[in-house]
Amino acid sequence: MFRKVVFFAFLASVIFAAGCRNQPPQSRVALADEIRDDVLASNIITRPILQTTDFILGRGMVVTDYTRRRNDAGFTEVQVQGYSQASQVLRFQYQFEWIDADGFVIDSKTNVWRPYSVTPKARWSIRGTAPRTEAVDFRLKTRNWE
Amino acid sequence: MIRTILLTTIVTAVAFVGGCGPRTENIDVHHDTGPAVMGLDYRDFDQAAADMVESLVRSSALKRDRTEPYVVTTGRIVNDTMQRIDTDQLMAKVEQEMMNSGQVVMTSAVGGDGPQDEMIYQARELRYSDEFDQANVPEKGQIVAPELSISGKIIQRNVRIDRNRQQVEYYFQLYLTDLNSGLRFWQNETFIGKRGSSRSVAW
Repeated sequence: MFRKVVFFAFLASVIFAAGCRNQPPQSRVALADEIRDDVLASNIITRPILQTTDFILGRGMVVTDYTRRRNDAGFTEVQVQGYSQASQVLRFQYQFEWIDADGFVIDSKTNVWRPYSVTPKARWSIRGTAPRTEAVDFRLKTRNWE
Repeated sequence: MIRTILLTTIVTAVAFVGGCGPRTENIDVHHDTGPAVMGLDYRDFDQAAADMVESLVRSSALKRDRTEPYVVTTGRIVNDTMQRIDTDQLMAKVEQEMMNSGQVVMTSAVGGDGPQDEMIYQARELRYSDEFDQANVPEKGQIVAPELSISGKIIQRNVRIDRNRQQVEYYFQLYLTDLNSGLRFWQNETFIGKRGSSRSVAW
């Protein structure tokens, strides 16, 4: 009976810790699980369980914000920001589409799929620069890096 | 009878083998799921050109307090790889995007490998020919000299990882130079790396 209680208490704490890990990392420095101090959420025993939990829950990337500005030459620059909830490196491809004031997509050789990878449990940012000064808006598409 | 059976068998076998051959299909360039190759394919050139143009636009190197665009020529682009590459595969995209950005005009009169369009000079050979109405023949002193030049290099390095695997590294380098002062306004390097079987040939 006592064993069962301990086991369920341990399981509950792991799930609770896993839930806490769902929050965006507050620190400016992202230390990998393997090199930072052990905490309940990521010590050598619970880490595989949490990684499995992340995998089962399908945790991936979250977009939190984007910023936009015009550079000195009049081209729109954007930076899309977010964080990764995954326990492993996420590799994917992204593509920017630039849109003019009339809502038309600007045809450009720079509208290509580009590779990107995100550190586990860390913030990321993708930056794009419009190829024409007419661009006023953008769309960001992603796909799996096959 | 035996001959007929033999012939029928051969024809059937040939038709079967022919039907099993790889099918020819057009590449979906927007969602190309084809496997990567050790050499350079169109996706690599697209990515390298896009990175170059974005870097140039982001740098604001072509910003100047004048309304007319820069006149630019393409100098020498050295192919230092083991592959037969027409460097226009890269530069045509870069030039096109630079012109579309409204910041530059490319000149076809001079270039690293000679003029892009020989007709500029052939048309001038018609001067003083009685066979041609001189009204349409270009006058002297009309060609606009370039102010900036783009030059560059594509480098390949093959690194052996072990007996079965190799790594091929490609470096795309471009430089933008002011022809008047000789000063370099911008430069960028894009890296594309591939890892695969050492049996794959990267040329």
